[in-house]
Amino acid sequence: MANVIPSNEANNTFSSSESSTSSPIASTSAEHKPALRRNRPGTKLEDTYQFPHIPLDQIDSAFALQEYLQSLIRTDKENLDALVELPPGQDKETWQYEHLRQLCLELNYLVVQLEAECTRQTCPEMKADEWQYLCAAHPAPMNCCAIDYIVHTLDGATTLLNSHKYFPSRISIPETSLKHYQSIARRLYRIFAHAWFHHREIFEAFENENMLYVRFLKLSERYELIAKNLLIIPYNNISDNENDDQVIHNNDSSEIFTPPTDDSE
Amino acid sequence: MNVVVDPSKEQVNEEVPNDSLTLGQLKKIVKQFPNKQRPKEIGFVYTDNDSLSNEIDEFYSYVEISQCCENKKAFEDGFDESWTTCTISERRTYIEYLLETLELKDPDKRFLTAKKLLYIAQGTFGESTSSEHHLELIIENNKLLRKCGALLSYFQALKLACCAHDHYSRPDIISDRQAYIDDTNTEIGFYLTLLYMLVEVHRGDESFGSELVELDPPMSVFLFEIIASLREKEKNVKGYPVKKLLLLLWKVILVSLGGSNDIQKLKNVVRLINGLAPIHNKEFLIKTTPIDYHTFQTEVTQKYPTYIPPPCPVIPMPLITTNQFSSNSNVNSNDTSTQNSSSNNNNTNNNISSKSRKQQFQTNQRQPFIFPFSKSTPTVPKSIQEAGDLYLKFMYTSLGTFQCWKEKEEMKKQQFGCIINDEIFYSEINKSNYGKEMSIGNNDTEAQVTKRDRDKLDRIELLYRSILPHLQNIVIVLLKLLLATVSTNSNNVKVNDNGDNIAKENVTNNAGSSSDSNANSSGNSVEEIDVMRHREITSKAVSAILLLILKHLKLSHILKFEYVSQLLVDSNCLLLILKMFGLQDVSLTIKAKNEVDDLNFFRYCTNINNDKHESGKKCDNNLSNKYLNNPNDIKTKLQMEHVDESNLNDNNDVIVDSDYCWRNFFSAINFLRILQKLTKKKTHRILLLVQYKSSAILKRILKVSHPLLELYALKVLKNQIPFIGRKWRQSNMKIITSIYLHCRPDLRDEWIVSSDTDAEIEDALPQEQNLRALIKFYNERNYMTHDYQNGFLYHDNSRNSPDIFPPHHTKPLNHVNSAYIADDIMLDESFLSNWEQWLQDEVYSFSVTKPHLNTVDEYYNDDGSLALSVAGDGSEWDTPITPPIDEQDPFTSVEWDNLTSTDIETFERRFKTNGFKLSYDDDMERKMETVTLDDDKDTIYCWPDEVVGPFASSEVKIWQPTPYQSDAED
Repeated sequence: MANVIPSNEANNTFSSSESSTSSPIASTSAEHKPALRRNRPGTKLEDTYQFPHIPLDQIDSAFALQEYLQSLIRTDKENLDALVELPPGQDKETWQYEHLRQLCLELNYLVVQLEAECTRQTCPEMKADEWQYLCAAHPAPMNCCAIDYIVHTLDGATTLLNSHKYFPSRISIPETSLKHYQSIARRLYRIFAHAWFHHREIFEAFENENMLYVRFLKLSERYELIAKNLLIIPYNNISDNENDDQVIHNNDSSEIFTPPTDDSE
Repeated sequence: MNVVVDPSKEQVNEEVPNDSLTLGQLKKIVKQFPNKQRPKEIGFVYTDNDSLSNEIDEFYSYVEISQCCENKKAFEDGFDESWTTCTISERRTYIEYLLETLELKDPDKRFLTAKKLLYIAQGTFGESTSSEHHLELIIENNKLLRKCGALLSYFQALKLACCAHDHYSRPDIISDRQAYIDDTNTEIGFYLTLLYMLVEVHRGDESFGSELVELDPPMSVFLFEIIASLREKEKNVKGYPVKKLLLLLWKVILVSLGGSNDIQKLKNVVRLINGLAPIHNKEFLIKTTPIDYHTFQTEVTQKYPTYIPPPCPVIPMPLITTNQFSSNSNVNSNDTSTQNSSSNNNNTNNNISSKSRKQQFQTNQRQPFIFPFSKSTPTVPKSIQEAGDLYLKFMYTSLGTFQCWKEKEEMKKQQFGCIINDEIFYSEINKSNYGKEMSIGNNDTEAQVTKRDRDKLDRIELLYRSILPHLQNIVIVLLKLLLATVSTNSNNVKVNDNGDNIAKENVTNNAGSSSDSNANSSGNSVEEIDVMRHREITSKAVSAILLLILKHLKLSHILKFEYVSQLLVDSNCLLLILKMFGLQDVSLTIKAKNEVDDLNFFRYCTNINNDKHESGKKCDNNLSNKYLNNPNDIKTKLQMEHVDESNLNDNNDVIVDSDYCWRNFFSAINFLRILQKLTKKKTHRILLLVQYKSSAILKRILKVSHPLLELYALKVLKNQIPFIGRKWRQSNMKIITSIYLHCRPDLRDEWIVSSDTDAEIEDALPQEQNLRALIKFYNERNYMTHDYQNGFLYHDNSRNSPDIFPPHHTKPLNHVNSAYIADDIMLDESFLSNWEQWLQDEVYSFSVTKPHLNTVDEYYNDDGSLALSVAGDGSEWDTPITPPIDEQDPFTSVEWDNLTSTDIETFERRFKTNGFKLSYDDDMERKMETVTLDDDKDTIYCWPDEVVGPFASSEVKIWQPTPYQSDAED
């Protein structure tokens, strides 16, 4: 399985700070210049991101929060609590926004993996266990096949997060756009769900590599993005690495109502 | 002498002669008379909408009220605990789960979820203790629903259901169609109900209004489009929940655009933006308009040619061309040539001297004595000057006049060719916001006009722009629905499960029947009451929608308003409204009580609870069945207003009558207002009203004693007075008095004087025609783009949302809901296997700078024969066909063997006149840019700058690639 590390080169070339005096040699110079946190053109994949992780206040860039998050992920992707924890002095909303954005970026890799296996023939409808969805990304809801649904949804979520109308600035999020977080999270969750139920090996391989799903779970739990009863992937089967004593999500809610599988009439 | 006791005046003659009654006796007699002079004034307060609980009550019809029980059951099956005892987060969890289920594919699951959600939205009434508590619960639950993002989910689900409805309405789907359509209608009804509860709870909430507008498409636009689509013949509209749709649309407009108060406030803002002074003290405004002033000027300068009127502010008046000596023309023919306008003074002197001596001393009866020109004495009598000043003092340039004038100027410019009809130029202009377009005021206005105000104006603009192509249909559908509410009940009405219906087109005109049914005070079954109620509510909704739209559009630009008015008038709205008033006596309808209290929503829910508590059994449908089966048990309260116990208060208090039907009152006033708005100052339409004998109908309305209703009826009457004939005026002095008392007069108000009505009547039709031309010009200039290639105007709606997904150029091939359609688009085998190669060859290998077919020379050798050996019929991709040999073709007449330069020029000329375009670039090489003839509309180009070849057949279609298409198996 190819090593799929989210290499956010495209982002970084824009997001790194531009120092007015471009030193020909990068951070190894002995001068006390702020290290250029940039992948120079021609760098090999193994050599990318050789700059160290620095605290948020020291990052001097227009996209500081994003860079901070990304380098945090690079250094310590298993430490979910640290990843999800709100850095001091930051808005909850902007932090969630950055996380969701990062999620969209990283999910693309899962989709690429899925494309090999998930086709119109194998999964003609978007299903996750018993739940079957209609693609909402079109002017009128359409019955797309699974991979189409996944791609449309992911593209739709990305477009929404990038749109100027709803998210004009990355520093502050307008009040009215906050409600989109839940719907974005719910829809992206379905991608995971479909992968888990129908393309188990791909999911597990991807998850072992990136731990994206557990991070997403943690995020949702922390910021209440998704209702617990919608997390249809059974928890205890998820990655072995994660052994925190989390409350098992699914079974909590069975007291109050019955999940859809029992409801089918 | 006789004592005239006039019961309408309660004046008692003090002097009582001996052979007449004493004062005491007189008083007794008067007491016995029916008390007409102080009728009970009806305590109706005209507001934008009724109270929340009433509106919610009216949303549900009696036939479907038992649905509430089903909802309760569905919810309790799925949710074991008591809602009111759950914490907020538990509730949120459940709600989010339900919203998620709304996106499922299985319609049964969606139904079930919708019912549960409905129960929540209806306030989980099983746990409410009283009606007030119930209302509180409704508000609480819906606010929570909104926080969970329910609006998006509902809207999504509604779009889905509407698409399904469209699909099932198509004529080629036959099997079991009605069942599917009924199901879909039920589903649509559910979603409309959910949305209505959400919108109603948030009435007046501005942020919610913004949310509604930010949907894609904005909610009001979407609902209008549904209404427009109801007109299409393919749509099976039977059983469609129209009443719910209309009510929802009304409330959505109220929330997203604003109500009467907002309109008032915005008026001044718009005036500011346009550079006009804001209005203060509206009640005391006696106004003159620039038109009045112009009329005044014309008249006065005829008599007093020395009068120089002070200039009109804001709108410059055209200089008065005075025919001041036209009456003297027969006297002295030399004078007819003098027709200047500005040098009034100078003429006076000259012409006097040129008159013959005799006539110099004859006073002209028509003209007053012309003061000799002198600097010391004023040239014009003081009173005339004062009049002019008064006009200016009270001059009020209404926003409408100003906008009309501007538009007229633009139109004139275009007629004189001063406007460049350039597409790009206009698209740039049209992209800007309303505020930027029209900001004429200075810097102060920028500060005062807040962003919120501009947003509101933008919304109106957006609404108009989006529904403009559908307006015709919308108006027709709305009026049809209105017509259905007054048509007869018995024959054509069918009440189906949903309780909503649309009467079919064949409407018979039994004039008196519907008013009779109001008069029946007993024996009406619940069904009939329900039907009457349904109609009342529908007409209320339609009246409100029309009025709101007219008001908002007028605020934005008068010509938008005029366009909608024009559509309404053309669809016979005037006649319809008059008919409505004619068929139903207003004084009866406002007293009608088509209500069965127990079946009203709140009472019903309370009853369910009480039943449950008292008898301990679960609620069932018996409650409503009981009423349906035993009409005698109905506690209906259909009453007629009888002038009953009327206590003569000595201190002349007005007794307030609070027994009225809010919705009918509301509709009546709305319709009168619409009538007034449509006909104000438009002689042509007023003449229509006169022709329809509307005065009789309006007189009847005046019997109701309510000041606002009276006022609007009087206003409409006032418009007609000049044209209505002397006899009528003589016999209806009372009405004229009322008009005088109640209607605010203008400074120059000529409705009684009735001068020159003939001229006005003559003017009426040209006035109407000019107005229509102006409207057309306005619409075309601002909202239509000119498709130059194909020569027609089309409505360009694509600039609405740049952030849509999927982007336009990547729309998938299947435009229809593929769940319902079996086959995909067939693609050629060879193409499918080689599409990458094809792309490489046909697309990527082209370079933009060098089109592969660019000159005529390539096709032809120097000796005139075809250079490429081609099949000649265009069957291969890059081969041209041989040109058709006919008279028009520019190529046939050219002798290719001996080309001379003049030949080339002739050829070029002919080439151009045949619709091809030639352009020259710097090295004088001739390229063909546009390769099709003008009437070749079917070609679709993917890359417009790609030259495909001058003789490409019109069937060449270039496949538009989608960015992603999973490996298609076919």
